[in-house]
Formats: sequence, structure tokens, C-alpha cells
Amino acid sequence: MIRVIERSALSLFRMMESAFNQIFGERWNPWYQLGALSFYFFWIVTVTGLYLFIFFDTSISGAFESMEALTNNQWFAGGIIRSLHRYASDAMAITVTLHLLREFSLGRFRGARWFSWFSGVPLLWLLFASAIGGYWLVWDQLAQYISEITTEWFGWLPFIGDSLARNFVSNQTLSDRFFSLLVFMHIAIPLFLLVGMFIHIKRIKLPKTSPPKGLARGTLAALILLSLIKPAVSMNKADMSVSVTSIDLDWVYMNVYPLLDSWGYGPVWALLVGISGALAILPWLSPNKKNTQQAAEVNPDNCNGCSWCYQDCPFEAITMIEHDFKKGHKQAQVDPDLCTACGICAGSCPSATPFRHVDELISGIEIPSFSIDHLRQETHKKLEALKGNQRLVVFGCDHGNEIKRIADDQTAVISLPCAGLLPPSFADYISRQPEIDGVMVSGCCSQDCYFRKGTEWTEQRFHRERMPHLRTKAGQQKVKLFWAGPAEGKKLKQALTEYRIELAIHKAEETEGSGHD
Amino acid sequence: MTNWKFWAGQLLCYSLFIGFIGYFSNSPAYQRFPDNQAMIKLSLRHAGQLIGECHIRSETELAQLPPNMRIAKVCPRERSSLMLDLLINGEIVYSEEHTPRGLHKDGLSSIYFRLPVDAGNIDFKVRMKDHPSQNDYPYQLQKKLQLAPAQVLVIDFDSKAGEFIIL
Repeated sequence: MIRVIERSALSLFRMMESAFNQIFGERWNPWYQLGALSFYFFWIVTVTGLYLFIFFDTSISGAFESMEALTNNQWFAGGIIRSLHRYASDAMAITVTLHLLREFSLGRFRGARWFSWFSGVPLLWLLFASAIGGYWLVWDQLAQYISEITTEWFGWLPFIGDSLARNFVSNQTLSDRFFSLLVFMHIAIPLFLLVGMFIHIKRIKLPKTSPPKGLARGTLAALILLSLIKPAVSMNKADMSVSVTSIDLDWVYMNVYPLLDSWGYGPVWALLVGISGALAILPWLSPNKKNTQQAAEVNPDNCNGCSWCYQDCPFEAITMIEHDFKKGHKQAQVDPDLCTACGICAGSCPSATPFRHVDELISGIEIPSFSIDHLRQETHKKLEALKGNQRLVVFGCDHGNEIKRIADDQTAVISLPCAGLLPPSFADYISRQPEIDGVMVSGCCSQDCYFRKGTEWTEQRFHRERMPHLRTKAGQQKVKLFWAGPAEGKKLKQALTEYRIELAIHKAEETEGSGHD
Repeated sequence: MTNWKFWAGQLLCYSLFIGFIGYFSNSPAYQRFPDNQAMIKLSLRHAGQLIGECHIRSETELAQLPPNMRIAKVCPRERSSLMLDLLINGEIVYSEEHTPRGLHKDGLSSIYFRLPVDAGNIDFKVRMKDHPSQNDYPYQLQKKLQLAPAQVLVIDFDSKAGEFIIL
């Protein structure tokens, strides 16, 4: 059931991503930057919040007036900044929600990735608490409504009780002391949120916490424009002797409040705690299928301690320890709890080369579900089966474009768990076969590798910017890289056709050149 | 995609994004109650009377205790629940028993209750007992009031004076 929902959501996301690729290009596509955008909005909210705090009167009698003065007397600065503070926090809630849904649709909550998923769940509560606390401080009628409902809602819990709601029961019971506590909480909760966000990305290497400049500028400009067109304003000043009948709710954050009025507090607690609990245990409700995620294994005999795998692992699953038997040398060690079995480590291993003259090719590190020896055998098998005048080998990845669709007599396709698993030496090896005209390496979209760094590292390895890189001239001439998301089937076909034409022209030029000689 | 289409597409997406945020950040307005309704809030904290009699320890009992615990008069800690009723126009709209807080039930009882009512003339009565032995309600307040639409009437209890008050 979960996988069915997952697949349906994924096809919806793929459709959107594909459309946005046309508009923004892969680099600026916001769907690939949802986590980074959330961080970005957090910083906008923080910086604008610091400015607001300078002018904010933290007493219950002065809070409303200070916000009004800020909004009206300096609309060009405080007014815009207040609006930006509100709209950026709304934007953050949207990107966070989409980020959660997208990661779910991609199944990025299973196996070793459970930690990021699990640690993200409390962040939702902290985010909503931060935002609702902010609305409370303005002390307008919206704040009055929030104070009444929120205190009653929390007061429903047996260990809190009714006395919380009593603080906001009438104008006489309001106290500056309690209001100061709310101000403190509006600073403390976002700080906890920040710490939580840090923990959330703790287990991944080089996390993407800032969006590309173009997208950052675009979203900031859009939010400033919105602040100018529709400045954030307060409702009337709170007055506890008059109840608020019609409220201008922020539906992004307060969508649950009308439910509190109609369902009552217990059922809403059950709903929210139920959803949070279900999200938290999702990695265990729908675990990985058996044998699909066996952690990478190190073979000390073939590990020379180069540490390239350690540098390339996107999930920090590898550490370097003293070698088992080579004195003064290092060897890799894999933490199976952190390993996603992407195979990027195998692609970085210098011993994972088909040029080695051994019966069974065992590299220093590899994943059991797709060993380097299996890759070599598969490659040989596919090469032998190729026919025709222009023979190509295409390597793809299981999470990117479905390369099986382009397989034919002249095109051998080999799908890997991740494109990063392919050691560049394989491209060198195949390119040296005279009957093979070219090698194409494809995978996920360049900005959205399923295993985070597979496309980026492969790109760098094949462009000789990262070790291990292509070594032979033939390899450099005959290899083509092409990245496209799973929904970009047409693009891959087109790229393959163009590549064939390119190779044909090159071959013709070469023949012509040798004829002149 | 041509350059102008690229930028126009982005402009459209950003417009939709800020349009969504701009609209849903304070719209549509949520109508919580009909405009002609008022609100009664019953909110009080009061400690019920102690349950049980104090006990004077005999000399023998005192001698059996460690020296630092030899206190002659021992009173029970547990307090009575509060029994509170709210009647509007003669009809009971709220009737609850509230146990004191604390593991030994020796704390205050806290009550908070909110009730929307139609604005206009109302005759309300609130009554409370704070000991099980009380047959009648020793604390009562009855009033006829005219409530304006959206008006909030808060009924509290002054424990020192032993009477209900309207805030």
C-alpha cells in the first residue's frame, strides 16, 4: 500500500519536475532544491526577525503599538521586513512540506536513510510552534484567537491542565511576565529548530543547504515584491472582553485551528500525534526489500588505503582505520548502519579495474548486490552480443532514465545501482575495444542524484577533476556523459541519436584524414 | 526553449508562488461564530476544603516516632473536589466535579469552561460546593444581564472573599 502511494506521488513529482526543467533548467529547478530552499527561508526569517526584535516592545501593553509603528512609520524598511519575515516563514512551511512528500515518494526514508527522515519529524512541530509563537507576539485579534485556542488545546493535556488558559481569560489576567515567556519561546524554539536542522543533515556529506544563486535571487525578489504589493498587517488590537468572530487565519500554519473548534482538542491531538507517529515509524513500516541494501564490504587484500572511497561516500559511512596486515597503511571500514549500498565507493576504488589479470575481480571495496566482477562479466557478455556498424555501450542507473528502452542490436545497456558505481577504467577498457564506437554514461538528473553525489562525482572523474579518472586518450574521446531524470526518456533517446551522428561524423573525418595521408 | 519563454515561464511560476502565499497567509477569513453570539467563560482556581478530621497523637504514639517527627496534631492533606454548576435561563448547561491537583489531591482545583451563547438577555446562575458534606451550594451567584454580540463574560471566584466575581 505504502509503495503504491509512493509510486503515484513519484509520478506526479516527475511530471512537475520535467515541466520545471523546461522553465528553470535543471540547475535552478526548485523541486531539486526543496531542502536547500527551506534552509534559505530559515535564514531570511532569522535575519528579518533580528531587525524586528530591535523595535519590538516585549510588554503586552506595548507589543501591538510597536508593531503598528514599525509597519506604518517605516513601511519602507520595518514594514517590508515584517512582511518578508511572515512570507518567508510561509514559504518555508511550503518547501518543507513538499520536501517531505518528495523524499517519501523517492523512498528516501528506508534503510540507512532512516535517520534524516526520523529526525525531520520533530522539526515539523518546531517549525509550526515557531511560526504560531510569532503570530502570538503581534497581540492583535489573531493573536487573541491563537492564545485562547492554543492554551485550551495544551490545557487539555492532563499534565498541563486548565490553568494555562486562565492566563488569557480576560484583560485583567494578562501578565507581562507570561508575555515575556512567549517572546523568549519565539527565540528559543527557532534555535532548537536550527539545532534540529543541523542534526537532520548530520549523516550526509556536503549537504545542500543553500540554493543556486539564481534561484535564491529569484525567490527573494518574489518575496520582496509580495511584501510591497501586499504588506503584512495586523488585525485590530486584542481585547479579551470581546471575542473574535471572524479571523484572518494564516492557512499555511493554522490550517488545524478550525478543526480544534469543530472536532475538539482530543481528536486533534490524536490526529497530529498519529500522523507524526506514523511518519516517525515509516522506515520500519515499509523497510527495504531483502538483499537490496547489503552494505558495502571491504576486501583488505585489495585495499591500498588510498581513502578515495572515504572522500566520495555521500553518507559518511566510511572511515579509515589501520590496515589489517599492511603495517603503516590504512584501510577502509564501512559502517553498515550508514551505508545505502549505492556503490559510489566501488566506483572510486583504484583496484576496481577490468584491466587486472585475475580470474575473479575483487576490488578493495564493493557492494555485494552488484560486485565489480559482476559488472565486468556483464560488460563482456553485452559486448559479445553487439552487432551492427556502430556499436555503443550505455551505462545507466536504476533510479535515472530507464535505459532498457534504448537497447537494441547496436546498443548494449547496463543499469547500475548508481552511475557513480562505474569506475572510469571500465570506460577506458571498453573504448580500447576496436569494435566499440562509443560509451555513454547516463544516470539521474544532474541536480537530483538519488544517492546525492553519484552524478557529480562521475562527472568530475570523467572530466579528470577527481580520482580515479579516465586514463586513456581513447576513453576521453569515445565517452559521452548525459544526465536526465527518469521522466526525460525522450531526451535520452535524442542524446543517443545525436551522439551516434557525432561519432559517425568523427569517423568519416578520420577516414577522410587517413585517405589524404 | 527560447529565452523569452524561459523567463516568462519563471515569472509565471514565481507569480503563482507568491500569489499562493499572499492569498493563504490571511485568507479566506475564518468565521468562528455567528456575529450575534456572545461568550461566557467560567474560569476559577480554588482549593476545596480538607477532607477528614485532624488527629491529636497520644503520648504513646509520639514516643514511637523519631524525635524529628513528633508533631502532636496531624491533619489529612487531601482536599475535596469542587462541584460546580452553571445554569442559563434555568437550564443546567455545565455541571462537573473537579478533583484537586497533586498526587495526594492536596492542590487547587482548576476550572476553565467556555460556552458560546446567543447575545441578548440572559439569566445565569453559578453555584459551587467545596466539601462533600455540604447539602446546599454555599457559593452562588445569580444575575440577569444583557450580553452584546461578541461580548465575553468571565466568571471567576475570589477564594479569600468566598464569592463569585465577574471580570
